[in-house]
Amino acid sequence: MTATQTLRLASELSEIRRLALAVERFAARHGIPDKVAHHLNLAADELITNAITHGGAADGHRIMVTLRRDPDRMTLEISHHGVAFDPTSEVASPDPTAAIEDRPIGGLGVYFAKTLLDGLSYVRRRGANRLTLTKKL
Amino acid sequence: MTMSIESEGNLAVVALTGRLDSTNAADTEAQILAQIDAGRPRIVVDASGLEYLSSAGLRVFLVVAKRVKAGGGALALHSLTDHVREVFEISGFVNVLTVCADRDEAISRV
Repeated sequence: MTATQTLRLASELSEIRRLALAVERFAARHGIPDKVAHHLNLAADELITNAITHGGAADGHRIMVTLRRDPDRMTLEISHHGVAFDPTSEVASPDPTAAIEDRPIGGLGVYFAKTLLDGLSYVRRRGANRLTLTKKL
Repeated sequence: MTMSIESEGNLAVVALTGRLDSTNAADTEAQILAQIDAGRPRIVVDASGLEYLSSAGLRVFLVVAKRVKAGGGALALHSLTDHVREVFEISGFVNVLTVCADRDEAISRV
């Protein structure tokens, strides 16, 4: 059984919370564990925050998010127009063993997303960045 | 998110409730740093009401930890909820920040 829901977010950080509520409700409706919803929400938060603050998710353009439940997985597909920004490309991973003085401020968001998700893919098509976030059930 | 601060001498106990994310990280950081600037470089964070933490929020603790060190104080957090603890663990911050089981332990560590 497959179920989907689509949301249009404005390119504003505050919209991430609205998405989080929608994901929680969708998960509850479709028998998806709280932990899975939380991981998707946190990964989406990190990636959307990056898109808005660094990736030029263009003001005035919407961020389209499609929630999808398949028998074995839940996915979020996030699309936004803006400069090409691929969060799946190789980013220096933070060293989780480094001492406090050696920790740079920044760079953790994509690392969280990659660690929490079972799949993360990026496609650029017609001026839009499309990310697919996957959690297996 | 709501933040309440109790202070005594050079100690500030900051209780955070709700979400700490990219929408409120800067403001939260500013308020905690103001405590340090006011002569309270010993900071305890009561995280019992913190339901959600993203990297933007985690960064606040990193900035505070670096600043208290410079000010001769310390930072300790206590009573982390599951989701927040997971963020600390996957980032490795559980090893560089002082994470305690309860308020008394946290106060004794700063």
